[in-house]
Amino acid sequence: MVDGNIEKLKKWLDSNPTIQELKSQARILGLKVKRMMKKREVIKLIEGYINQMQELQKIQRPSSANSANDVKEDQEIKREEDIKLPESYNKNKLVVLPVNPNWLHVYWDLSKKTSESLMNLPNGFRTVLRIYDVTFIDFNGNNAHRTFEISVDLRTMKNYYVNVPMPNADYLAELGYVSPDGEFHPIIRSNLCKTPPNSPSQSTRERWLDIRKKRKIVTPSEGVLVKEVETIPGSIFNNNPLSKEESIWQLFSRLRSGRGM
Amino acid sequence: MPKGNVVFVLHAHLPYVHHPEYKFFLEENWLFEAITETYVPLLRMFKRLEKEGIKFNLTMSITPPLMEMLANKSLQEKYINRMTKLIELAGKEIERTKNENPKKHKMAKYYYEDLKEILYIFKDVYSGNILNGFKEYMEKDRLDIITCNATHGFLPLMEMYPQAIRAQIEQGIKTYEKHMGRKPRGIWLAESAYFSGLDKYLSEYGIEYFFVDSHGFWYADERPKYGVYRPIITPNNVFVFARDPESSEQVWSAEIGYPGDGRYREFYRDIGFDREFEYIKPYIDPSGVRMNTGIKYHKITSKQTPQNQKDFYDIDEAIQAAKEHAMDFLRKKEQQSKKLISLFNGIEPVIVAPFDAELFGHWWYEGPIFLEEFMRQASKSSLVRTLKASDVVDIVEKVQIATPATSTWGANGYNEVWLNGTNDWIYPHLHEMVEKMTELAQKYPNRYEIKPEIRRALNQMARELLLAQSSDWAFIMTTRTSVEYAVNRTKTHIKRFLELYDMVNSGKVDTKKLSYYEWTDDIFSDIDYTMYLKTEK
Repeated sequence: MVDGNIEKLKKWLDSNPTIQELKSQARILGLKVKRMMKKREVIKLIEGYINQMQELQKIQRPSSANSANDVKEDQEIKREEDIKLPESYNKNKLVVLPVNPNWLHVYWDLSKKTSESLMNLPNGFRTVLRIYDVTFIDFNGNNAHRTFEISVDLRTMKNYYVNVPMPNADYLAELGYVSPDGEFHPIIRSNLCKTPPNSPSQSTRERWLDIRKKRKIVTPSEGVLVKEVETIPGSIFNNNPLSKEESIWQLFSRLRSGRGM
Repeated sequence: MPKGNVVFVLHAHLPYVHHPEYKFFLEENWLFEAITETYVPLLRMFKRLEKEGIKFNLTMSITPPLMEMLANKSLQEKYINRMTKLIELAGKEIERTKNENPKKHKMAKYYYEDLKEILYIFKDVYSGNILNGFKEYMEKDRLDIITCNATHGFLPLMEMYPQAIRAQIEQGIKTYEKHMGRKPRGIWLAESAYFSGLDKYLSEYGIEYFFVDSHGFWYADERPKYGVYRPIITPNNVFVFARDPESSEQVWSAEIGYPGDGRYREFYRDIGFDREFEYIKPYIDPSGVRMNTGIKYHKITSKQTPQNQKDFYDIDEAIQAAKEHAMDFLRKKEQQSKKLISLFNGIEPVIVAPFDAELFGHWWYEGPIFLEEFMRQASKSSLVRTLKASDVVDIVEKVQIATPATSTWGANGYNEVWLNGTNDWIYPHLHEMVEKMTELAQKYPNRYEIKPEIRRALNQMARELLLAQSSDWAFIMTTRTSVEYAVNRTKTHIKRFLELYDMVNSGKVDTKKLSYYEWTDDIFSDIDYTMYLKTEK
């Protein structure tokens, strides 16, 4: 939220809007509006929001990006805000990245030629993203443990977040099309992507290195001595978006140095 | 008698922010604030402990971008100018607060003296380069200084590009050597982010140890017998330490950690925002944007107290609190050690407590006092001792072999702080840059057989790529503060890289533009783009 918007909001409040207008504005701002609220109460709600935003502006470090500077203004620097990056690098590329044990991020880029042919498929054809679980498999296109399929619209989508069931598993993706007879034709194959593990290993082995004698010893595991107590992280991205008034260092301590702390 | 070993790790890092094209640039203050509030106070602490003859041990990662900024002459001059202004302001504040609250007046006098001393240490003791201070204590064996990957790039999202990982590690080591005069033994991986297989690259470069978050051990391929309380060694012979979750929570947690005590200084009340505009104008951003000055008169009071009702801060009361907390922390470490030693049948536990260095001093103003007092008291303890990570590596005789789990120290423990809807747009560009960089390195594998301006352009491309990879930009996009700057920085580096790529490809190098980029993005003067030739897995 920038200064200007708050100023506008204040002015608008002064213009004596109707209760309906007030309520709808409050909803736009994400405030909880109760059905029985009186006009005075809604105004109070919005005023509270304005105060909160102003407090927030105080604590946020302002950025040089919006402060006029004093020294020689290089054209180069001044226009950095409007930098347009390429939409495509004209290459066929499909990349899978691990987000966490249960989510993959897939993005793709297409060459002009591929993109044209995939976007002009005849009726009855559809473009599809396939995810294969290939853990411990030398993948030949048909032997995955499981296959997940997502229809994608290449005109509007360039990436996808995929929920996968198995942590500590190897995944591959393919982008292609399904013909009317139901057959999948892959066009691009991705890199291999491993999801991180999220539970203790089942291994019953312990290996030790005697550093002075430079000797390895392998023994059956006698079990761990310290029982880990894991903190269950509250998901801060999905259910409970970071509240805006959260101060920065609290935010830092939640985002960094510790799981779910 | 076996003792518990406490390994304190301070990760000192700031992204490379240098804008020589501006006399004043707001984000450069990240560095200046950290020097004033964290780095110099740490040096002051080392000096005091040394004078008292107290043995202390600390592990610190100073990242390559931070080293490059601290050694940068133009930033040093800017810092001196900034401090001179602040001291002037602090002087005015002494007058100003005479008729305000006595506590404010006391603090005004304190700040005036403190800022003068800090500038003296910066300018006169270390001639502008405080890296020499850290180096001094490293040579005295009190400090274990380790490196970090070149620009704090987030390595798990480069996994498909071995050359990008090697470049990050190689440049990180090179920069460390340039400033510290020797090879680093250990590394702090950016965001403590490890993926299974990364140890191979570390071992290639002779790195002896690194750190992971707790669940890196909990979910390792074979379960570490002593949990996070002993290092392990990977099949590629690199030692790994894991974070003790208890220590972090006690110190760092926003909910229950020490820094939330009501007697401590309130970060968000600063005269940069509180004083009337005309008065404060010469000491804030010349454009009139208000900013922190570091002069603050209020204490936290309580977390529920609204900002405008905070009570006045008293440094003596706060020092008292920091000392109490240091003692409390020591007692907790002693208890923890006793318990672990008996559980381990006499084997000594290693308790690893890593933090962002800037927590101490910058976010938690009294943090350096806490740390100093902890070191002082710990040196007298019969139950615990402090150790450097390298000391542990040197004395361990038997170590369990395991591969730590893929993990980070970010919220929820994996990659989502650096890969989510706010920042996922950067990765297609970052990956493409690696491919283009590699393509050109392969086209020009011998850097001495090409025209100097082509070589310069290729080296600058490598700089732009590394700068674009800083995990800080993605992190900032997630925190939603200073987002605009992070987005601009990312886009600028990508754009400059692509321009240079076109120049090299066409053979027509615009040397004016190139010189400009070399001047503004002036990190790693010794960079060598041929490091992107190392593509094999």
